[in-house]
Amino acid sequence: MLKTRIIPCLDVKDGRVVKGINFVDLIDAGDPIEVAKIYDRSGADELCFLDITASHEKRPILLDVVRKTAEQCFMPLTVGGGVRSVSDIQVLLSSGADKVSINTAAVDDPNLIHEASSIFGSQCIVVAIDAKLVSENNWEIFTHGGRTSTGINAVEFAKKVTSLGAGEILLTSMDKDGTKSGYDNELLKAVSEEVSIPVIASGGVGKIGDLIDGVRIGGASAVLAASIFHFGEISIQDTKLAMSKAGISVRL
Amino acid sequence: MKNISIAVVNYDCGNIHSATKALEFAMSDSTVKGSVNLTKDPEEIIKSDKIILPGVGAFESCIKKLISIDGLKEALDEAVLVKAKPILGICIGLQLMATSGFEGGKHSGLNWIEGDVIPLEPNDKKLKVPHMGWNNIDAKKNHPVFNNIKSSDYYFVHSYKFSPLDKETIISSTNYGEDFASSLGKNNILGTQFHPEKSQAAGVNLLKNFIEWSP
Repeated sequence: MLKTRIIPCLDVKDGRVVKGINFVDLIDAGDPIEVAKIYDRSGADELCFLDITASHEKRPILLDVVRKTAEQCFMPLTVGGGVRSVSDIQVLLSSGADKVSINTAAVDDPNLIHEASSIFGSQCIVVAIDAKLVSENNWEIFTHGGRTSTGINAVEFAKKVTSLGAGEILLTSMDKDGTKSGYDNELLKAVSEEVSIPVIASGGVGKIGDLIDGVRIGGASAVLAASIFHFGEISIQDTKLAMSKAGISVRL
Repeated sequence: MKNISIAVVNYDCGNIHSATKALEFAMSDSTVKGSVNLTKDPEEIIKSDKIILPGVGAFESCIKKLISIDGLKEALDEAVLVKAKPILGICIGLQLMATSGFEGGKHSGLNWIEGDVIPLEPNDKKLKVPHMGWNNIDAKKNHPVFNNIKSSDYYFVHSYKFSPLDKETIISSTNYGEDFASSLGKNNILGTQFHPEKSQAAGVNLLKNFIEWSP
C-alpha cells in the first residue's frame, strides 16, 4: 500500500538555513546538509529545500548544497525557489535534485510546465501554488512570495498545470501559513478532488492532528511542515506513529 | 578480498549521480571492494564486472538516447547476454529491458526480459498517477539481492509498469489499485521499478547485496 509522505521543508538563504532549527544533537543548525542528514536518519520520507536567496550571483551556493546533500542522503529531494527556465531546472536536476518546484514562473508562463515535463518527465516537475481565500470557495493565486495578486483561480490553475504535465502540486495556503492553526483543508479538498496527480499540503501546521486532518479531510497525498519539525516540537517518528494510529498508512 | 568494477551506464537519462553515490556508499560497507565508474564507453562496459542501468524519464526519449550512443546497445547486449555479467536496471532502466514500451507510441526495447511496458491503471479512480512515494514490495521469489533487508518499503515514481510474458520473471509485486511487478529478473539480469538509490537504508542494503551477488 502506498504510504502518506511526511516532508520537512527547509528555507535556505545564501546556503544557510534561515528559520531556526532546534535539534539537541546538531552541531551547526544553520548547515542545510547537517539538517538534511538528521532528517534522513529520523525517517523523513522526502526533503524539500526552498531557496530564498535574493541575489542571482549567490545561486551557485545553493547548487553546492544540493550536490553535497544528494551525495550523503539517499532519499528524494525537492528543490524550489527562483526557478524560471528549463536551464534552471536542468542545473538543479544535474546537481542532485530529484524534483524541482516551480512557482511564479508557472503562472507567468504555463507553457514552461509543458516544456519541462516533456524534457525531464512529469515525475520531477512540481508546481507550487500559493493561494488565498478571496470569497466563498474561491481561492486566488498570489505570486512573488504572496505579494502579487494574479486574479487566477487556484483550482482551475491546478487542473491546467496537471493537463500540461505537472507531476505533483505543492499547495500552500497563504491564509494559514505561519498561523499554526492547521492546513486550509477546504482548499486542499477542492484541489485534490479535481486533479489526478498527488497534492502536497503546506502552510499552517501547529500539531500532529493538523497533519492527520490534511490527509483525512483535505485528501493530501503528502504533508509538508517546517517549524514544528525544526524546533523539535514533534519528531518525525512520533508523527508517523500518531498518523498510523489514526488509520493513515505511513512508513514506520 | 575481491576487487570489482561496476559500470553505471551514463546515457543522459536522469539522476545518474545519485545511483553512483549510493553504490559507493554501499560498497564502503561491503566486504567486496572496487570502483564505481560512470561511463558510456562500450569497451569499458564490456570490461566491467557488473553493470547498473539507471534512469528517470520517458521510455521513448531514454531508448532513443541509449541507441544514439555509438556501440552502446551492442556492448550491453554482449555484456549481458553473452558474457552474462550481473546487471541491475532501475526504474526506466528496468523498463528498457522489455520487448516493447508503449509510452509515447510503441517503441522497441532491449528485449532481455520478454514483455511490454504499459500504463499503470489503478482500479480505484481516487488513486493518483504517477504512483509516487513509498510502497511495500511482496516477495514472489527468493532472490539473493533481496536478502537481509529489514524494511520492505521502497521509493517509487512511475506511471508505467512492466508486464512480463513469463510471470516466472516476477521477483516481487506491489499493490497500487492493482498488483504490478515491482522487481523482475532472470539469471544475471535484475531490475527494480523502485529507486534503491532513493530508498534510504533498504535501498543501500539492496545495492550492497547486488555488489556481493554472484549469479
